[in-house]
Amino acid sequence: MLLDLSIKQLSEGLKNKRFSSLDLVNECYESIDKLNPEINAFITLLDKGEVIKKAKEADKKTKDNILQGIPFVIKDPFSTKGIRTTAGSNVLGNYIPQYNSTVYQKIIDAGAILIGKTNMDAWGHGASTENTDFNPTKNPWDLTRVAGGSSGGNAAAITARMAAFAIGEDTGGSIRNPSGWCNITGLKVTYGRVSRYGVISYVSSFDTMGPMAKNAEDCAIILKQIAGYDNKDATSYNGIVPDYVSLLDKNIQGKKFRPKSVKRVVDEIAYMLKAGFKEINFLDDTFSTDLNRAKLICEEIIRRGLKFPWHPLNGMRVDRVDSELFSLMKESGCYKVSFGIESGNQEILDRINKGIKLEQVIRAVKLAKKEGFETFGYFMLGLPGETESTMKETVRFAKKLKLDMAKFNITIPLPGTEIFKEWDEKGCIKTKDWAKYNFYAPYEAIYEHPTVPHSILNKSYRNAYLAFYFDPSFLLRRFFGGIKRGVLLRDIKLFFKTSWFN
Amino acid sequence: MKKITLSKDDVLHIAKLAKLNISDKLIDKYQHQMTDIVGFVSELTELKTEGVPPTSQVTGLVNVFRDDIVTTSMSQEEVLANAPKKHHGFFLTDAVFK
Repeated sequence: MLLDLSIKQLSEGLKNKRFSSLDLVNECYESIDKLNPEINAFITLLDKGEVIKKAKEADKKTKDNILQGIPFVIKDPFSTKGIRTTAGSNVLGNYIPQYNSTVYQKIIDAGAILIGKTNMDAWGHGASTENTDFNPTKNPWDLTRVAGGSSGGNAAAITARMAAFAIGEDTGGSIRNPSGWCNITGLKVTYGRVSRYGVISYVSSFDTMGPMAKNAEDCAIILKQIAGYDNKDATSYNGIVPDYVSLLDKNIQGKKFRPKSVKRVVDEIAYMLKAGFKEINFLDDTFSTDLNRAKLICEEIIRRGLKFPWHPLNGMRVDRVDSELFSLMKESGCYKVSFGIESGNQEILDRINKGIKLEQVIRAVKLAKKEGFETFGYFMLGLPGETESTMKETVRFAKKLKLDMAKFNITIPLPGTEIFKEWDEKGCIKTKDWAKYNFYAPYEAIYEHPTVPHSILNKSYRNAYLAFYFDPSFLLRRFFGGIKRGVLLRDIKLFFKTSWFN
Repeated sequence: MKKITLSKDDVLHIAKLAKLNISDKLIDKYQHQMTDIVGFVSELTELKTEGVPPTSQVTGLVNVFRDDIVTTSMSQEEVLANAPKKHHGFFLTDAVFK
């Protein structure tokens, strides 16, 4: 249905005349007729004829605001001139405001179309829209459950496709709670960010007015429209309103390292072993970021007498290992370690700020082999500045390390990273359709490499595997290792199953 | 702050202030419920607040004034629109004093 689209998508559709404002409004009424008798999201529905008239007028105008022509609902403490405003209470059952609340005025100035005033806990006193004088609002997902509150009517209306967005009010969770319980997105703004003028108050020093819609981008769009200083509200903040929409692609990755406690990790391991799992692998990236913690985990596993094979699935950093750690890992059951090596060329490594030296790699792998671990190396091909010869260097380095296994991946620049930014600025990024950014997706569709053509990259990728796995010393190592570990037959089978020459 | 408990006298006192008549058998029930609710607030003391400055507002606004100039507001008609009773352009209410 059209009302499953976001505000941005609806706005584009209206602009390109794929559908009209009238279509949207008709869809709202379809949903209302069908579902509102049970859901009861509204206290007051506007006259349908008037609304349709407004929709038709909107369709005739040129589109100059993203909210223009889009149907919305507003919670009932907001004063709407000429339209009954009750704040959910019979005390105001006949009250018709003679002026508009600032927020409402801003939204209709943008050209959005009001469908109705929505149900709420009376005066905002509630968190479930049950404490209303106009019968509770039910949760559209399960009519035996509440919609949350006090902006329950809003949340239910958006969920049930009776409107594209809503304006709510949050004092102690009244936007957040129903948004969560009805599976939409709502935002409680900082006090003072949005004008309270014309909104029947609940707690004057807490009340905030905010957007409710289907996603964060929609909320940003609405907030940009309603935020800002209002001289009619003495608590209104007189400062710059950020351009929320352009800030949406900010990286949300923080810099805090918050690991589970040693006790918690080993408790979970014990639980899984008790449940019958035979092998457990650690997905930390990376296991020994905190070297001491890694050692303590191994010690705790040993102390509790837990016996099971494990290995850290993600590569470890070669500068975060020492012989003490390896010995503890071995004793606690670890049988394999993998290293994030990336490249055999120091310049390339420095360029991506890997922070390791080739000597450290050699040392780490030696230590691991001494302890008797299977060793695995992760490498990347197509790093910034890479050429055919640097990639050959990487493969030679991999062979020199005498690893038991190696994996060569073609670089995929991920949004939010330095590489992505650098290549985007160079014009190398071909698409920002994030659905195409998968681990094993064809990289050719995503970017043009600045220093190495696709054909060379593909050739180097294939040759890396052939050079490493058909290296005679590797084959011998693998053969005897297979005998020693009793997996020779399995290895031979897998060797023939692999498509080497794709 | 030790956990607050309400006595039966407390309950009766509050009922009197709220002008509610409660029967004897309900005093017990309300005493427990009210103790639970009020006592719940004392859970706040479990929060670690060392180094956190007391915050009562975030906008930094103090004494927001505007110039004392008369501007257009609403018409008399609009202002009186919701009055249940009007008289010659005034709000009409019941007499407070005889």
